[in-house]
Amino acid sequence: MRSFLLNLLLFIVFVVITYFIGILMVGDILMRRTNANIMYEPESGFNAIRFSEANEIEELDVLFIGSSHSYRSFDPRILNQYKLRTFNLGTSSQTHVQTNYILNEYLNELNPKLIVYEVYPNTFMSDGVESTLNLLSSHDMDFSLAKMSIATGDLTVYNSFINIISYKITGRKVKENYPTEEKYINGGYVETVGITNFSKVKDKYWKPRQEQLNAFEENLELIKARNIPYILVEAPYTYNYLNRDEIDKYLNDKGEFYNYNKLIKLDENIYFKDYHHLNHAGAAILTTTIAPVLVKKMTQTNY
Amino acid sequence: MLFNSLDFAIFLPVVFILYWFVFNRNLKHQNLLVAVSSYVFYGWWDYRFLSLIIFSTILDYWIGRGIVHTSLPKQKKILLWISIIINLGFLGIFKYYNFFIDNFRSAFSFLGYEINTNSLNIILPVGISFYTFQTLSYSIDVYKGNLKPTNDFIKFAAFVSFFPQLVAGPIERATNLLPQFYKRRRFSYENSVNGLRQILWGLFKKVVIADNCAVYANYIFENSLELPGSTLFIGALLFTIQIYCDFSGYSDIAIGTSRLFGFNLMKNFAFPYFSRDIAEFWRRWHISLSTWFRDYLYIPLGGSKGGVLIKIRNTFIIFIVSGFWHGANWTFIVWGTLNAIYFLPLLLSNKNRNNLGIVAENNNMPSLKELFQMLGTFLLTIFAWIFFRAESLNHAISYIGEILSWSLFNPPSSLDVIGLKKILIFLIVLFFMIEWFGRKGDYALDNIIFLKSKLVRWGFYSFIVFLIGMFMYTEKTNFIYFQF
Repeated sequence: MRSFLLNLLLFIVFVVITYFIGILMVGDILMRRTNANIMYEPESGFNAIRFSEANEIEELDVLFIGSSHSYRSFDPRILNQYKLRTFNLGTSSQTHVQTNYILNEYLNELNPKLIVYEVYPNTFMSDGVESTLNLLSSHDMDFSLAKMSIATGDLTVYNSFINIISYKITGRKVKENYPTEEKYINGGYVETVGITNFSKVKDKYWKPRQEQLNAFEENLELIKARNIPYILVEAPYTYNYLNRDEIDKYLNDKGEFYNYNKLIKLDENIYFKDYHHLNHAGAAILTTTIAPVLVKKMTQTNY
Repeated sequence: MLFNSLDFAIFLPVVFILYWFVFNRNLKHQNLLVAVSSYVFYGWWDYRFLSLIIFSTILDYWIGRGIVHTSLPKQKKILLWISIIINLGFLGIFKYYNFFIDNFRSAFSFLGYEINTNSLNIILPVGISFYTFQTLSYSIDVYKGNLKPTNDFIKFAAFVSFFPQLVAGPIERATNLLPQFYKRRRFSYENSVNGLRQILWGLFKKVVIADNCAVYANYIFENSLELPGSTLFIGALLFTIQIYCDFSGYSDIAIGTSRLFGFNLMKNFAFPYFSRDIAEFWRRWHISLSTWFRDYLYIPLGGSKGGVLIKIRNTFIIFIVSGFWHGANWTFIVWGTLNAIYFLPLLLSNKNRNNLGIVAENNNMPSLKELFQMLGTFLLTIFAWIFFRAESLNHAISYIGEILSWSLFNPPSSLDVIGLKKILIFLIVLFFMIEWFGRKGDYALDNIIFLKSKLVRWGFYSFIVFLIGMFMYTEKTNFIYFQF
């Protein structure tokens, strides 16, 4: 029995080492040429540039957080005209678990006067794997990110995590292939030009995950603890939730909530990039609509 | 609890440690641990159905004791029939009730009578067909005098519920497994290493090959009306690979796990897709079920002795019952019937025992004749599996119809739509190569010991682990045979 356990232990160590070596040697090939459980190159979102810009910010009025709905919907150039210094820390598919990580990383440094928390209902239903992969590929590795990756319990995240470590060790850079029709604008915004043909999706039920609700509420507590005022915002999309009342009730209970699906009407043939993202024309309208709200909110809070 | 889950990855080492380090001094305690662990394993899925297993256990334990304590043959027979009726009764209610009700309703409706019956929303308890047959074998063997009934309830409970094979077999005979609960188990290094190796291979078959094939097979079967015959053929081929890897993968993990605890279960698969005829295929596919039906149904019916008509009758009975065992659907019955039709010519021409050994036993590669024989048998099984996988008979017939149409010669362009990756083809080819070169063992990696260098062996296992890590299908999937 003793030799069995000893050999088993040695074997596990051997497997772990060869697994690392395997990923180091063929991880990139498998990722690009097969559907292997490894993925660490962001397809869009300009996260790395966004994080690097975030580290340079000295003074900030409004911080936007949330999913791609956040960084594709609010144009800082328009907000500048209202004398608002803003930055968008939205990341692709960012769920509330990842928002928690981002808040803990950046809130003290950025010290915003107002937070706009974008709350796309789908982010409450997501497992957060895609968002974790996005962070892994674009953010510096630290203990919290490692902890969050492990907590996903997802094999793809684990493999990508190992690969990221191998990148760090070998000094390789992650390739970022961004679509040509997209442009990063200082302030964290991603401008999309043109309209993409898209198929509409059916209305669906909102079934939030408990861990996302918990993370969301924890985030709000974190913001409140720093006495930073916040508003909750939903950017427009082209379908609806069958239990919309339930979403409205929940979010209205949690803070000042603006649902721009109801507050503005946008033609889906003109103002959308796809079925749930605004293009630049749509974002301009939304930003112009929200700007006075932000100005008023800033004034109310005596800044 | 699924073998391919994190729950099991924690459960197994915990039970292993308790078994060999805490309860190792006392056989009774070890058996009790096996029984309790097995109930936890099963209850993880739905604890309410534990009552069924416990009831079956108490019933057959009592029947066994009753049979040995009565000297009257008539009473013995009554006791046996109580066991058969109650055990099959449970199976009938949970598995076949709705099938019979729906068919009676349709039959009466066809004759112009409308009968008012309601189908029930019944949950099928996982593995009920497996443990029912296992307990039945005990009662029948005790009745026949092949086995002395046990007077130790814990041992019997552990035998009925033994967690590695509880929900999807192999269906163990009491004569093989029960005596192992009487013997003191000693830890064997070789047996345990062999067990781990078999678990690794079973896991690879299930989570890499079967689950990835399932993605495409499911898509093709679900959209068969819109796809050309060539794509449908590929769908059937992928399902053929999926079902083998899924089920034999489960059996490998079950047998390997049992080895870790010092138990030897019967072999359930012996490389069936390398069979040269259908008779050989059925000696190599789901062996524990085939031999169960042979011993408890086919032979009591007269087997292959008697006239031609008796042979034909018995062959059809055993294959149709075997099909029906898999599920309450006409598709399974037709699948069984089709296999009987494949098998009969061999039986009637006394060629059913032509291929008893391993194909190309003394060669690395098969002869051309053997290759054609294997391909022919494989094609016949693919054709039969279409009925097994289809949702209904109409679905199966339209599916086969499309394969037999000219669209079979269309390029399977729709595969681009579903994105069949070259990597899956590579993995399937690699899998069959390993199975081919390992066909002389109990399972494909059994003879890997021929690689003398430990480092090379470990490198090979690591390669399999790497493939699992990279290509494992990450959605949680059940084993197909859980539903039977």
